[in-house]
Amino acid sequence: MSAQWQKVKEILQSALELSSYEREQFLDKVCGDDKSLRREVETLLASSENVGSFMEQPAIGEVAEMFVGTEKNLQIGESLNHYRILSHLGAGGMGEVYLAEDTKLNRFVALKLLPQSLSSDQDANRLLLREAQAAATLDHPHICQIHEIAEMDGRSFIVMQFCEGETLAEKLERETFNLRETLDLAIQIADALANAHSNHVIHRDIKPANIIVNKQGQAKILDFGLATIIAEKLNLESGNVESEAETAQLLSAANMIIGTAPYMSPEQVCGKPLDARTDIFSLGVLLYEMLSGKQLFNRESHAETISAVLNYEPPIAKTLVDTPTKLQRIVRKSLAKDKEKRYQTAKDLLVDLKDARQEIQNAKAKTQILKANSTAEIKPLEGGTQNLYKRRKFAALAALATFVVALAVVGYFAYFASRPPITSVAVLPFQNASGDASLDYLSDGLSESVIDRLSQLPQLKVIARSSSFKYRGEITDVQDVANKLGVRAIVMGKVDQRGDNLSIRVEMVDASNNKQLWGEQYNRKAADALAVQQEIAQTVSEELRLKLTEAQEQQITKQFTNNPQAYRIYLNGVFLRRKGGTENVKKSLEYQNQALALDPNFALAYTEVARGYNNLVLNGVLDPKEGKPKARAAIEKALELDETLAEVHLALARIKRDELDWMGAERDYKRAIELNLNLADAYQAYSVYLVQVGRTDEALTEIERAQELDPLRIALKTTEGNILYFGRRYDEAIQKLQDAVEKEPDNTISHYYLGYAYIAKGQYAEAISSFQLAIKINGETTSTLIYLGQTYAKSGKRDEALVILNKLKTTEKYVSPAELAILYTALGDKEKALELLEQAYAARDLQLQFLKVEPGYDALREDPRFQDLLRHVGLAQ
Amino acid sequence: MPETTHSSKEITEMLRDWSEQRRGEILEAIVPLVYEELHRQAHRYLRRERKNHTLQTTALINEAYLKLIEQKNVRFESRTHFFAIAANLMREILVDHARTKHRLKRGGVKSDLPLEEAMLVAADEKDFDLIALDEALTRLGKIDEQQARIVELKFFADLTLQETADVLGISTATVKRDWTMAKVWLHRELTK
Repeated sequence: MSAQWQKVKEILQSALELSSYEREQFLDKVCGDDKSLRREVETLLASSENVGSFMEQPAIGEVAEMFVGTEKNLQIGESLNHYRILSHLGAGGMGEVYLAEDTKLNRFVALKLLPQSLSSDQDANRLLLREAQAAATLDHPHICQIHEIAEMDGRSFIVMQFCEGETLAEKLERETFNLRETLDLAIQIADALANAHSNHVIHRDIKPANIIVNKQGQAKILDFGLATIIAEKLNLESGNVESEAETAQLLSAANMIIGTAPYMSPEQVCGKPLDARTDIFSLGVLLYEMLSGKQLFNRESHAETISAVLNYEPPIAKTLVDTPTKLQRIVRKSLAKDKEKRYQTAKDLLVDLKDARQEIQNAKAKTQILKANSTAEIKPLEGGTQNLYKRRKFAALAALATFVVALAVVGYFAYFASRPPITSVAVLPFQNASGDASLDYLSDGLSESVIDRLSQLPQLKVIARSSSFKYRGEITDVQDVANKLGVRAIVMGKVDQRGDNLSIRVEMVDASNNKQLWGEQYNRKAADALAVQQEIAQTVSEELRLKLTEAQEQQITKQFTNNPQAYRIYLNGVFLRRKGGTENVKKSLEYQNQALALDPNFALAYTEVARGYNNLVLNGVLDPKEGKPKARAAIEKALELDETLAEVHLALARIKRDELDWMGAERDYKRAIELNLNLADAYQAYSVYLVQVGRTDEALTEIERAQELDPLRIALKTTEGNILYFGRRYDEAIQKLQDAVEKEPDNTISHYYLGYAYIAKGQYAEAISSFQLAIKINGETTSTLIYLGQTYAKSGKRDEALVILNKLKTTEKYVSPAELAILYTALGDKEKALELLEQAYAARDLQLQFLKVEPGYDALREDPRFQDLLRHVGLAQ
Repeated sequence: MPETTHSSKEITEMLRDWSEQRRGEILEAIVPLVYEELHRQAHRYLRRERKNHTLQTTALINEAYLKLIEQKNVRFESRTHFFAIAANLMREILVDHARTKHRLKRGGVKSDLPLEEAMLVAADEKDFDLIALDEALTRLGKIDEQQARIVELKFFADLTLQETADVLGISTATVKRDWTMAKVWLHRELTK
């Protein structure tokens, strides 16, 4: 260890204990004239301010994602009794969880496989069943329902409601809850507990990871009764287990968590007999955590945690200083170590929680009345979610009534007055009115299917999904939406499904006069979803007064699959892929394969398979050597099944371009656009192709068209900026990209291209700050280093550039040879640059697609070897 | 044999020793043995069930390593050795895994994510850059071996302050100070 380091260490340690003012003086004193020492200490101090939770969790936790997703117990498509496995959802509290289809009742369920060790003994299974029945009797809006516990081939599994949302643990990790949200959730949970307790079921493992909250803020408690069931079963099997503590030990030994130490009640950690009051304590811990953002009893080690549960009395008045005293009292009473001093029933707790909420609302209402004399804002505060729901229903009814009257009046005129066709429309995402988030896929999917069908009509402008789907929820100002999207008509809808009954209400409004053009209620069986969207699309086109050719008529009512189940599964898959994230995309692939098992001729599902694989390759999850051929095979299969799908040609065009088959690629881009004049993605992709081959003006025309169809997608603005950059129109590029950055600051690509444009303009300081912003968002990549190096080299800071070059030489990360050539070019080493480009060609580096237009290669262009390379790449013309 | 404490220097020498000799070979033999456990771990973290699980993995690595060593007639003298080795192995395994994943990405910004597709790809959550951390940690090790060792034990092997202090035979106060500084230093290197 050097003396310098020792010094830094000592100074840093002392400085960390000082206030920022004292630090200044202290550093003046100890560093004296030693500027490098001072800089070292100051940068470390600055870093200590931002260190946050960096490295707080162990390495395995940081990289957990990488490891997950391969091991499974059940195969997709496999059946357990009448449940068919659709996909692996993850590992739940005590076993693997799958999404399955209940083929009898035609609904989705979650299926939890109990560990094999629990599935052997006959008597034990009988007991398990009996206990499960108690838990399964629970029927409450905030309890994830257990449908049954069943068995097949000696394996027990639990069938339960499929609840979508995020666990409270995940939410707590990210966000803080305000008082209102906290109370709403606590009330829902207490309500559920009261219901369960009155049925003699206790939970024993109330904790954030066992509570699922959906987008609407509705909570569901998971795994009710399971802890009891498992405990009983283990008791029985081991025969002589006397205490809860021993059971708990046994359970953790079996890798199942029953009662999670930081949320356990004192009696639970001591292994005493439990009653309903243990759940009240756990809820108290949870309530404290939501209010403070801190885990109350969680400590560095298990022993310390248990000791804290038993002995630590939180100074609530201090730690929850912003919480109303009434609520502080509730927390304190829930957390009483002695269960006799706690709330005796969840119902009592519920009453107090509701009172607290009422008080807060009254107080708020008062101040609001004082502040502004508008009562409109206060209303939604009253009565919490239950009433909100009722109110919404009422509003819907009122709307319906108005709608019926409106229909009678407007419909009359609309029907009889002859009017010219309307040629532009946006389909907004249908609302999911079921309150069940697991049906989001259906409401989204149905509206998207309608968009896809209408898009086929060349005489109609249909706004792309990515723009129209920005408008979720109730639309108050249809005209405003229509203006922003640049259309005349707006289609809206609501989807509801109760059991096997599907109802869809759709209406279309002419934004020019805010009049209803059409409205219809479809009441069907769930299985008819497939037929309905086809019908809606057709009726919309009729109501728009479009004249369709026979071919168009066929196109718009075309059957993509005749299997309703396959269609539903397909929609589920699309929904997951759009959600993004490696796990979701993997799951979406499973769905599509499942859909294809049901209907092997479902061409659209093949296009989704290809998208899924491409997505995995792009995210570095799947080796391109494995993923690309799979994507290609799927696309070829889709083409074979249906030559008229625009998406298929678009995908083919991309594949061909990656293989440097420029002519073939262009044919497919054009075919895709010809088949679907509304496909914004195709215009965008084609525009990038055009700029790569050096046809900037055409590229700009295409990207403009894409923006008309997809006006709210900022990424298209970025693309336009990129095109201007490669077209060497730097000032315009900078202007566009600045606009894009302003509207969507997190898009790394905008920052990158802004940086490139600044380099080209010789504005090196601006370039560096753009790259630094990109690093902030996306981390330091080897690409960023290359362009930073290029900036240094061009601005005459050769030494700095060489430092970066050195770093790139030693890094273990992938460095694109074609990009590295840009740095060497900037450093004046043409030989090395050309050598790298040849390597890049051998490796089919994708960056080579920009060989013709990349300004970073300009100094090489005269060289005959570069000319050769251009020819090889197919871009000489 | 009574447990002995080892100076950080001895451990480093020992690690250097095995690393030069048969690191690759050992890694290859151990990874399959601990992989399943790592998966289980990863699941636990994704389920936000924290605390004191990694120790199991560490133990498993020890065990696997021990078996290997016995086969080759090499003996280690104390648990200090095992922890130091296991932490280092854990680092190797995780970083190696991250590298494999990273290598799958090809091409630079403009190319790897051809621009029109890049925007269609729903981004994953930003990954923790384990490779960069590993590189920075190697640099730190050259300046301050003890701090790097502490990072391996605390971050990679998930030992507590006390356990780390025990393994290195130093006080917890020292571990705490060094750990704080190492984190600050690494954080600066990663955000530079």
